[in-house]
Amino acid sequence: MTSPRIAVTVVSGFLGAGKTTLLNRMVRRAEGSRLAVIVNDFGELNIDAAIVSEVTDAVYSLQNGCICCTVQEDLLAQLASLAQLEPRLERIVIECSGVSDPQRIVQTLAYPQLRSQMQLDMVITVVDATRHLQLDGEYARLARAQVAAADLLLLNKTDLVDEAQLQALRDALGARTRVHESVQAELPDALWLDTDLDLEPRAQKPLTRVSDGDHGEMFSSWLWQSNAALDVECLRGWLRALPSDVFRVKGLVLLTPGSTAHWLQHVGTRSQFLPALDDVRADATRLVFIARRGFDGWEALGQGLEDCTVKEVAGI
Amino acid sequence: MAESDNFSSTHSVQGTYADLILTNGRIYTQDPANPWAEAVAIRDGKLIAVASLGQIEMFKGPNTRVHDLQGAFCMPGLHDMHTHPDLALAPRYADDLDVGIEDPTPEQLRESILAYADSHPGDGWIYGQYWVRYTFREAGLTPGREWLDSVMPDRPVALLDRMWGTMMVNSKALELAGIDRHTSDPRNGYFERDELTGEPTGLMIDGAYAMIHAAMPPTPVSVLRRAYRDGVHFQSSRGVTASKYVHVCEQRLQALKELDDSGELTVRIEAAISWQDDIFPVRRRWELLAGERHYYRSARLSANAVKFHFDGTVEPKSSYLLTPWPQEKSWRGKLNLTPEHITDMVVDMDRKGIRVIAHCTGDGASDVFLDAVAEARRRNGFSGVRHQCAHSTLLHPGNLPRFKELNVIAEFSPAAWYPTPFASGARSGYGQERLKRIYDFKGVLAAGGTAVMGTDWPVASIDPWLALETMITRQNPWNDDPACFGDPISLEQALTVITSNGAVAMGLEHSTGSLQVGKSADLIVIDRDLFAAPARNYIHKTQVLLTFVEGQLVYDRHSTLETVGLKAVWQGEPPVLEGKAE
Repeated sequence: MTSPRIAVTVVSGFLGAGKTTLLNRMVRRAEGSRLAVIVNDFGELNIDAAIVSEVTDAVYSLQNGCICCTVQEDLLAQLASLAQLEPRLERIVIECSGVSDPQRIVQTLAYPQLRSQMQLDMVITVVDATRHLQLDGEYARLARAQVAAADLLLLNKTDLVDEAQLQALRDALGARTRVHESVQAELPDALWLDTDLDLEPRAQKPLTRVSDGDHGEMFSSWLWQSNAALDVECLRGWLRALPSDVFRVKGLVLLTPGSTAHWLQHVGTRSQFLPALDDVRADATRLVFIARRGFDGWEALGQGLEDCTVKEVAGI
Repeated sequence: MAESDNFSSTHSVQGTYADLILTNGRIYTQDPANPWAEAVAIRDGKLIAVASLGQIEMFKGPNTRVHDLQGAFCMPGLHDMHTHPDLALAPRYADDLDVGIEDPTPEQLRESILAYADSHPGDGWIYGQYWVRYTFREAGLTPGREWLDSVMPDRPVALLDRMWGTMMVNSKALELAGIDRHTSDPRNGYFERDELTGEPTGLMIDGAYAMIHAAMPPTPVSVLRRAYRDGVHFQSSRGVTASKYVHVCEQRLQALKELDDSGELTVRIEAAISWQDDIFPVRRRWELLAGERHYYRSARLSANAVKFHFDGTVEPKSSYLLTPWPQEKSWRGKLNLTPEHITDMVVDMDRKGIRVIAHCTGDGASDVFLDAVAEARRRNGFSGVRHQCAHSTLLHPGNLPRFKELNVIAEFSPAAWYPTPFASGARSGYGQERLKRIYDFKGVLAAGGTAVMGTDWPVASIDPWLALETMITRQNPWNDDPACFGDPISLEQALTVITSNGAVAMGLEHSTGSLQVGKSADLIVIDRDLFAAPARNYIHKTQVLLTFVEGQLVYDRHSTLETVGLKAVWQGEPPVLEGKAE
């Protein structure tokens, strides 16, 4: 684990887009890990009696270790009490109501009371390929808000539209957004779980391939390492310019001035920095990139980071 | 020549006969010794007779005006002991920037800001609405001070987003508000910061709005005056003769005084000076409390009160309870000020003759407040000032007799004392057990205490008849849903609550609240006999025909009294201030 904070995944999207299918996959995938799911309505979720071990008020404890509760009016209080649970949760998934702007939940997560305990990992908006372009009026505005708040768009039901429609959707969703196309809300683990991020130092080379998308994986990842500190503004510029095939960047960075160590997490187009002063590994910059399989811009990305290093300042 | 002042004092000359007689009415006096009458005689603003048709004749002189009520129902004026026309109306009347586009692009927003700046030259604040986040994201831009500075670097700008969660401000606004990376977040919100430098990004979230509002100039007196004018116009035309405007500042008192001076303050107003700056900043609070408030004083206006927010509300579970909230191990809610602060403050204000009105929704908050009043009584004796527990949503049963013992007014606001989709959702947060004893008029009255009603507009409707009906039914006034919140009281009790108890809460029990000889002629004539039909879906439809305050005709729906030469301040249908509450 790279951060002591509970990771929070926000799932948004219109009614019928495939949110529940995605949530069911997440609950199933979370076997053995400490996951809490906050949903709008239990009825929607496919939790059969066999996997429910305990029900108290609005909370279902599932036999695979997950818990599940409904969205109450005061999300702030609800999240604060989830943060107190022992053993500690690893991840909370919040399902937004189909007709809500996830920005509201994103803002709640940034409250000072919560910031020390949890961290927004990503906002996933499920987009219904068959209906997205037909929405109008207030619904169209809401859909734009949901798309704009997302770090990742799961373009779902792509089997139900033809190639021309698919291309129109890609164009409408914009070049800056990270889009993953699916049929039954399949979301590759690499896009929402980061348990296998490997930050071990590597031999010599600054840029090393960590996994190459073998075994049917759809993503490959690379590690970049350097003993030098990076210039903040230069790094931010590099992050802003990341190609949309790169879904995540995560790791430790030394930043000037003072070579202070930070955790960096970049998802979609959103970056978060957290101080990592006490971390024993915080003696160098080590960043892992995850990109779509077949992406060939690794060298350029490495060079971009190389250009941001401030060698004479490092170590002072 | 201007109209002369005509105040009455010990040796002022009095006529022999009545100025006005209202006769042939069904008059509910609220005087236990003489509960019903047929006629009233008024001279110099006071009742000189409340009597039968035969008895009234002796007060009729050659210059007496006589109006035949034709059997209409007449009663003392209504008392709304907690409301906020300024908070409800002033934002509508302010000349703020209104972009007027559902989801403006950053470019459209820029043009709108520049156009407003052109039409409002100078270096003043540009404040308004709305922007949306997604058009910024779509344009590849980040909303915040950097973008806003590029549009307007030299004038402070603050703009709300359409979903009311974020205010975007520029560097000038942050500078004027004194906000930088060293500033702490408020308890009920935060401002976004750059994660690495800690500098504010210019996005203020939720309660952080108040940090910007504090730096802005106060709402102009002209805007406040218009808001209050429409407020008293509505209240007079709905039969309210006395009201409390809870939360005022110097600007607000000035607006009320201007209305009073121009003869348009047609309701007796007790204005409570805000103890905190959480709704708007109160400049020169201490001068007002020390004695400057007396400059605003008249028979219609008094500022001998302060208001403070002691605890929060049910929705964010911030009401302060004696035991933890449902589904919580230890969370009891929050008090905004320490019990010691409140005790010293109540003792001090009590000594100055200033009424303390305390917002207490949770039973824990009112418990602490009553303790503070007990300490004031112990140290000061009974000062003659009755302090007021506002909202009183939940009261501990053990506190019911303390309202009488300590001379504290229990004020209840109708926002959720009857079932509506809003109330049922919001108030169910308290849990079923607490919901049963919510807004306990009956308990306070049974223990001999003084219970009053305050509409708390815009939280609930400002219409007092809706409150009167639902005090008796505690049911939804618009449908036949049998669901009922809390314990109903009788029509007679409800009339006491809304008339004579209100007068006690105003400290005016010797001059108003009932129709008795020697009291002020504060009375109303309405279109129906309140005792003639079951309350539900009946009382709230009442139309007021005439309203008198201090014997002055302030409202005459059909201009009926013009035939005897009396012209009311307000005439015709009540103004429409709110959408249908249903």
